[in-house]
Amino acid sequence: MVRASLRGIWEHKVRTLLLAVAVVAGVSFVSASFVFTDTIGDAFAGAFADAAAGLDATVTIDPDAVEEDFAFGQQRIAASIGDVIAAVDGVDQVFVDLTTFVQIVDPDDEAAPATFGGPPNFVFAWNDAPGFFELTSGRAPAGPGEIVVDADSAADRGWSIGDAVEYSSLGPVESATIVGVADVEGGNPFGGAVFLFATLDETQRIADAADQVDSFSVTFEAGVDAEATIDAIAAGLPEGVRALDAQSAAEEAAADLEEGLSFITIFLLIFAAVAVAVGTFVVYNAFRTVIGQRTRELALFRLLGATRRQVLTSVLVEAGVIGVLASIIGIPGGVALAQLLRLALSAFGGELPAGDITLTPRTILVSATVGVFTTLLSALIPAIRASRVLPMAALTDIHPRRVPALRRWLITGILLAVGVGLAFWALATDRALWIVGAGALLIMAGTYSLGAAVATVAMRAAGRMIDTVGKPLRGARTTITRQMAIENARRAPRRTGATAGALMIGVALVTAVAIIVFSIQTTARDALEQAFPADAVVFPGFGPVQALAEGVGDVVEDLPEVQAASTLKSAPARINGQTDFLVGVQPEEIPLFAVLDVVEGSFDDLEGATVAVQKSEADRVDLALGDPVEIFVTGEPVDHEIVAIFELGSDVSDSASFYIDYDQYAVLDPSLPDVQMSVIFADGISVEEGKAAVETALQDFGTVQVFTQEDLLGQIETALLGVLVLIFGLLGMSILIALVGVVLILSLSVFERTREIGLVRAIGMVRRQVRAMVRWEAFLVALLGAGLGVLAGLVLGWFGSWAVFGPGFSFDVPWLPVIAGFIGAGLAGLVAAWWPAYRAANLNILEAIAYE
Amino acid sequence: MTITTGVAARAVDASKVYGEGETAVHALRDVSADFAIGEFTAIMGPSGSGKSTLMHCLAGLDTLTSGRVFLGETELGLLTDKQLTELRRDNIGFVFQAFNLIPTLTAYENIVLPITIAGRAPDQSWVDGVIDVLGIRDRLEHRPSEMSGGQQQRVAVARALASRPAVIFGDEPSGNLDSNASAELLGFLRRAVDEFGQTMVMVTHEPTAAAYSDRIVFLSDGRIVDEMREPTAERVLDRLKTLEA
Repeated sequence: MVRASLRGIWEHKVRTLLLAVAVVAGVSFVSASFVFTDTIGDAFAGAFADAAAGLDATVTIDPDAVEEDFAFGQQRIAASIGDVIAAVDGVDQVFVDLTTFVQIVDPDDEAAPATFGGPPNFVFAWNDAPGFFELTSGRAPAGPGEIVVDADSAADRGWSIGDAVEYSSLGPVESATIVGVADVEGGNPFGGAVFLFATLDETQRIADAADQVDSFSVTFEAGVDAEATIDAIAAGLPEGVRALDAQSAAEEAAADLEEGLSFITIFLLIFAAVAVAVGTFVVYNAFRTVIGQRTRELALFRLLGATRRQVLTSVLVEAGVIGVLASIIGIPGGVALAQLLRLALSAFGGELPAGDITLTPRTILVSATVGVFTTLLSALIPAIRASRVLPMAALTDIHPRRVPALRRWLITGILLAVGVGLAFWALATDRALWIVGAGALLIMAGTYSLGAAVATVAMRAAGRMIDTVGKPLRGARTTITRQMAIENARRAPRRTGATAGALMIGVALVTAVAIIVFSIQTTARDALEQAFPADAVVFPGFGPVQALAEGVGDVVEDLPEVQAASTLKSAPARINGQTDFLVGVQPEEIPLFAVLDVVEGSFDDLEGATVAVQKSEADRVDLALGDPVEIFVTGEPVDHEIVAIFELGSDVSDSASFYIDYDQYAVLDPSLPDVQMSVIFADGISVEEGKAAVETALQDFGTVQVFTQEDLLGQIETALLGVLVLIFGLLGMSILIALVGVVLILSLSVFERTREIGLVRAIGMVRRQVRAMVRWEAFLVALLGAGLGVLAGLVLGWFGSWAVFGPGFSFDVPWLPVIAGFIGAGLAGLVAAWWPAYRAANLNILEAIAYE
Repeated sequence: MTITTGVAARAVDASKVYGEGETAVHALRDVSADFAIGEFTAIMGPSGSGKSTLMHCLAGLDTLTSGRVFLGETELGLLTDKQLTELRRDNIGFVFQAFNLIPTLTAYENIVLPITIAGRAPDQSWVDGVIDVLGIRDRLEHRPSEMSGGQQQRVAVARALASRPAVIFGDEPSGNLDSNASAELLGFLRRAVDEFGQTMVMVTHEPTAAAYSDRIVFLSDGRIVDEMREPTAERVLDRLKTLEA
């Protein structure tokens, strides 16, 4: 029996390969997720371990202490701590670590300091710690204006000793001369980023961090008890600073970075799940069809004495072989996919360490398990059905089992109703998001089941529609091929429904994502138009340090092209025990930043320890005019009295709810810089003129970005487009699997109808008509899948937009792309039909009609 | 070569060889035969005598290794696959032993299928006449699965007649039917020849079926070994006995 099934696999090479391909994508995604994570994790771990090699202890800020503190600039620790550490018995050397960010100004590139999120360039304080960069040529920086660059960047940018590097940070553009080139073992782990090294004093100046450092790297004298020495160091440290052995510190730092990237793993695993699900449906449908076709053969085996178990095993062996094959193709595919993702993320400016691809045994094991088990699982029900074939079926005609229409409709109805109800209830009552997800899953399952329920009706309806539209254009010759195609699709509604259903999944997700993204865009546009009273805003230009240089507000306000300009402060704070954004703004300049209506009280009273609260937030936590609000920024929490309650002109869910006086913010946290400036241009000045004037005026104030409304929209649209392209690329895989399913099922159907095709060929159907017949079927099945997908996508998109924006969300359907996608899916069906159509048109008539 | 009028189909020195060299099988060896218009010819012979191959080659379903076949004045060997297909569609009718009908189409749709495939409208009065003669009017909206074997074969005959082909080829058309249904079907074929002047070529191994024909061509080992006119079942049976001996 097993030998028979192995021979079957060999005889149906194309089918086996197509089935394997359907599973490959899922396996690839799973292995890509792991390879990607492991590779990055290893690179980080390697980089940090290299840096920690030769060190004994690291003194850093205690991350547990940072969490309670929102104040700006507090991540650093006092430089004077170094003396305390050096005085501890057993400590040999103390090295100072300080890193900050700059924007490299490329004289060849006029628009150099232009984009958010470009790869950051680092400035390190030069030190001689083991594991740190080592000079490969030149000398270490010795004073202001001297700089060492990393070897990779020097090679990339063609820098050599004596060249000048221009960069800017919080102040005007500066220039430094390269005095040396340094390298680290294994090369710069952060591909793409430039590393500059300056003296500690210079680095502190650039970072605006006088007398402050990030951490200390410590080595011990030979033979001392490391643990005791670390304890001794810790005893002398101020609160919020801790000492850790260097190895643990490196592991912790690597783990932190890895955790930061874990969203990518989750993201990939979601797509893996989609691909696996679609692959499962395709394999299940194909096996079901094959078993149906082989009923007579299986019955013959039973008649000749094969046991049920043997029949079951023979089917599962075939599935297992396909699963193994899929794993063999899929795992290297996953490695390639991971590599591709790394390239894609680098292109988007993601800072990922370079390093060799890591393929662990676990990755191979998990991916192969996914490959083999999903295939076995998909084949299980058809295999059980195969084992139940009665020996007598070999001698009698086969009557396919049919699920009664009523029962199918009932199942479909229940799934859809419960799904929609669950999602609606969860969103309306603000439940956990996974309940919405469960509802969405039920909706998908219901739509899948709907496919089989409506297949017969939909095919006939589609036929009628095309008749009405196309009759004047086309003759009866195509009518008969289409009619036969429709009848073919209708005769096995479950098969047709399942084929369409696999396609439905991908199309539904693409549609839903497109709707959500489109809605975000519309909402953003509305929000900008309604709530953006300024002609332009100025943001800090780069890096994690978001700060505008002091005095930029005055410089801009004095410009003749500018009517008004003002800056604000904004940062997370702990407000009544919850973290929220706190905005500090001059009350009289609020109209520059936001369109809002005061409901109660007045902004005129916003002075000192007072606060204005957005109405929706006040309602939510039950606050009224005159109530105290406890605000904690740094130092001690301070009570602020509510003097105004306002409503925003537009409903932007993530806008700040708490406003305090600009000067009061400076009292709460003197170190917090301005983070945004709004500008209104003078009468008669065009947006372009005004923007140019502001940019020119700010040339010496570090890197800033000036955005007009259109610029901001452009930024949002570009970012969303990137997200959309990435998601579509990943979902495209599942649509491809579904199309492989179309190829499979059509091939099987053509095989099943060999005799019929032979007959119509004999009585005069030309090859072109036979091909047309198969293509029509593929086209209509693909349209059915796409149609169901669009329907489900609309529902999911609606719930998705609700989930993203909350109640009162805007629901915007990008109709043109959706309709284009619908037709595109039909055309993709035509492409999928190419091979089955070719086979059908070229089969040997005499063999096809030969009587057994 | 000029073709004598009155010949619907003709084979000239037709040979068909399967395989090559030592293992070559000669299905037809220099067969020459004419099939006159309006005549009902039966091709008989033992298994492997080449009778089916001859029919397939005459009907444009198979090609010769050497020699020529004509339908009317058209030499089939000179046609492309497309031309051959259209020739079958427009000029040849088929009645196979079984699986003659498309299960998804109704009886009527099956009857007019070759005409619809050609993109033409059926000659309604002709088709109606055929349907009435075959007595299947009350079955027109039924699917093949809802009809008996005899009814299905009658629908197949109606389809073969519907486009008024030059020749109808039958491949054991009554082979799957019980004796009553078989007699009924062969009676219809006979009527088609007598009443409509239809040319008919039928492969069969049953003497009772062959007895409905005007003329029998006997094949053995790929050669025509005999002919018989106005056959009866007994004479055919006797002839077959000597042929197989």
